[in-house]
Amino acid sequence: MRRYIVKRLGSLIPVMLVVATLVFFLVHLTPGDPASVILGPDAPQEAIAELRARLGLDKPLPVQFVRWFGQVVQGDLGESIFLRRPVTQAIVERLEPTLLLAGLATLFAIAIGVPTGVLAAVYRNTWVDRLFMIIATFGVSMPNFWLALNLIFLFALTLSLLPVSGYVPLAKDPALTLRFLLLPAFSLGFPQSALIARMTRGSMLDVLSQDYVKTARAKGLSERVVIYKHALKNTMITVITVIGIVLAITLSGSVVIETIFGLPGIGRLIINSVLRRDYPVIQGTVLFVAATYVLVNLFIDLLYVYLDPRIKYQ
Amino acid sequence: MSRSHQSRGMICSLFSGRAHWASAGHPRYPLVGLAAMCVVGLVAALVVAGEKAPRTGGTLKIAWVGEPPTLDIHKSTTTSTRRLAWHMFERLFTFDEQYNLIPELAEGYEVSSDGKTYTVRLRKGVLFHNGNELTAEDVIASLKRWMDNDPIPKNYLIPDLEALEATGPHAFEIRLKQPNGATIDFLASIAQGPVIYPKEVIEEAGKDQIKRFIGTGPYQFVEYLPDRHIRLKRFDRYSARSEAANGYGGKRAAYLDELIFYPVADVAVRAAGVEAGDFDVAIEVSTDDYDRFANHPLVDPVIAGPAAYVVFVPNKKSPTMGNVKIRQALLAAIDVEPLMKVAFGDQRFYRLDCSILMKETAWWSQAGCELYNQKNVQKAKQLLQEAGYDGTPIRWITTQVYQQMYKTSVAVKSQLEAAGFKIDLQVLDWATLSKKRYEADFYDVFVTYFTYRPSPVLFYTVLAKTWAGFWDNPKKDELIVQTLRATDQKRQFELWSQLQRLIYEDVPFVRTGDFFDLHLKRKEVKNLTNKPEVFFWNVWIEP
Repeated sequence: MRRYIVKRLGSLIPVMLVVATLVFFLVHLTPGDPASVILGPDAPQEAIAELRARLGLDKPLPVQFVRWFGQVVQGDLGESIFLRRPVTQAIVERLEPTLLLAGLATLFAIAIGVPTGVLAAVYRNTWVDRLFMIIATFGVSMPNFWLALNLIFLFALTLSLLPVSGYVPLAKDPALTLRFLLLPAFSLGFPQSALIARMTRGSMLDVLSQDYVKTARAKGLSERVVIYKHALKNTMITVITVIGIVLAITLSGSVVIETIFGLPGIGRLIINSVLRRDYPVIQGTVLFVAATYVLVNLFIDLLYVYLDPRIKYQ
Repeated sequence: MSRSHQSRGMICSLFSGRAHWASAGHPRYPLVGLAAMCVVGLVAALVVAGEKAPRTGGTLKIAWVGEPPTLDIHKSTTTSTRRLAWHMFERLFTFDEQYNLIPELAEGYEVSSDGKTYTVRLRKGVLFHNGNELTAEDVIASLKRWMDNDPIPKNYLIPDLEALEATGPHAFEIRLKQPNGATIDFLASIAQGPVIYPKEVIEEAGKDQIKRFIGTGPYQFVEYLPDRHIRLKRFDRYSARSEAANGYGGKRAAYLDELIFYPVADVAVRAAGVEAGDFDVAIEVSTDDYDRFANHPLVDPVIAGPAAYVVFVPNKKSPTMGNVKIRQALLAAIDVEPLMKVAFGDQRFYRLDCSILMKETAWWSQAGCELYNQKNVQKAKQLLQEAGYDGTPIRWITTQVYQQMYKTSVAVKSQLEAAGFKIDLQVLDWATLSKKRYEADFYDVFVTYFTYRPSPVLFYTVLAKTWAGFWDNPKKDELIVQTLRATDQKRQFELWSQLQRLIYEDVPFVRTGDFFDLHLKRKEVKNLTNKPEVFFWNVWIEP
């Protein structure tokens, strides 16, 4: 087991190398540059050229790549052009809202998705099933920014229950932090809950037709025990995989939701850095997101062992 | 309240327009008597409107358009930078209600009889936020750094400059090799303007951006949390001018304890935040929602401007647009009104005008105006034929980041195609567009907008041949030099009008109509400006 984990962690290295190379060239081959963003729309070319030179952007791309890569290998993601602080620090500063948002959104997704999936499977082909699956299809197809704007309209503008946008750090006022996070977390979590519900239903139907479920029922166990103890636990392998994907998606920062709700998280950092061509930050956050994906997947794989003792990693 | 202000302001501008001409020569201030009448009028208007006295205290939460790329005004031309940072940093001169020059940190100035020496006196006892007194040393260091960064003085002042020297703790001299009638105008420049920083802050910054934000303004820097907020607080020892508030100048009072600027990128969220009470003010909200805001019990819409006008800039180095006849065809074919309707909807938010500098300034000119808004498809077709235009697609680059630029581009495409142009509309993001417009072989026309500029010299950047679009025209260069040499304002105006005519004849860019911004505020927020450049001094909250 330990060897397996070490091996998996080791596989991070080639992944990161490929991602680093790809992102560097993609970002630098995109037209536009930070100098013209800093200097503004009226700036003449000579001023832009001068600033580019000062930022080291006039050097040939391979030279810039080698210099940046050399730093990254030593664990230094470089310095942001706009934020005037190391990229690592910029990422760490934005972790709190993103982590909380991801956690809460995943919680919403599970809390809504799993029960509806189970109920839809248990009452399959009845109106309950159809209603839930219609809602789920709607949920999967609904763009989350649309949901977000509607929620703002309803809960913030019409009912004045929750704030429109913004964020207060956890350390300052946890209750207020939660109020700021409820709408974004729901906007982010609800469409994901639809995905979870559909997967839970499908997997549950599979399990319910298995022999051991028939056996359990034949033993005279109550339907509740059959479903929640015998069937649901075996459904969880599939469901956990989906939850893992959901967690990875939300953790890597929801660009749209964080922008709409003004949450200073990783997603905002990515989109703003792209818009102002803050190369070191784009590169750093993309690496961070790639690492998050790999680690979440590893965590999910390890969770399988706990859920299904038959699974063994060599 | 804002309406009565506005109409009063217009009457005043009529007065001072005349006053301006009457007082040709130096110094260029409107007649004091008439200005005083206007001030009295404004005060009377306030009393009639039953306005209560301003209140001190409270925090103003402002939903701001986006993150400024920097707070160092010397280093950037972006509006977001200057409109935020000018609460902290001040200039020597500024513009009054009618866009005449008035002193800010300066007390006044004198010009020698040969027009070659300007002596500027500074106000005494002005403190920086660090407690040190403003001296000529700080001013000289700041002006030198600004000249190093801003292309306007670099191109149009430095060539004439002999020396810039302190003549005492509160006075300095600008000595010129030859007269330059725009010398003081440069010092009032708003975009990338010559704000005054302490000398030590400049020395510590070197070639880089300033590291500490210390100015003389009514508000001082507290903290900048990227993507979260920028917080300023009242500077208690601020030395305000004694004259009444007037345009961008006069007395500036910091009634509020704190200003907090939140970068909120989404326009709908900015407005919703004010409606819900999370923010007190939102900058640049959607004009489509005007009626809803106007009927809302808790908020007031504020129409501010004129903000800018969208321009189509042909690339004078391109094989098609390099031909002046094709550019003239472009100018002839355009019908401005439908473009403005598409982009801005209601007439409250735009107006048609041909003058390159806006109506409210003394530089409003009708030269060449017969060539504006011609809607002449026949003439365009004929010009295209004479030019031998063969239907090569015109690569027209625009951006959706600024909706005005995108909508006008889409609308103008069909107008131009009706006249025989073939338009290849390419949508890029702003960072890409602002870089690509310097690549002569990439495009034929790009879209941008020109913000409000109160004086011709502040406009010269976009006329330079190094600026995107590459307008290389010896007659233009000659006229610019002549305008600079003229020290008499009437003569300056004539020359500027000739330059405007040349712009309509040689078509370095095509101007659409002026547009206005819409800001939104809570009803308890008082005295928010309706000027093109937004500011929050003199604003208070009525509890």
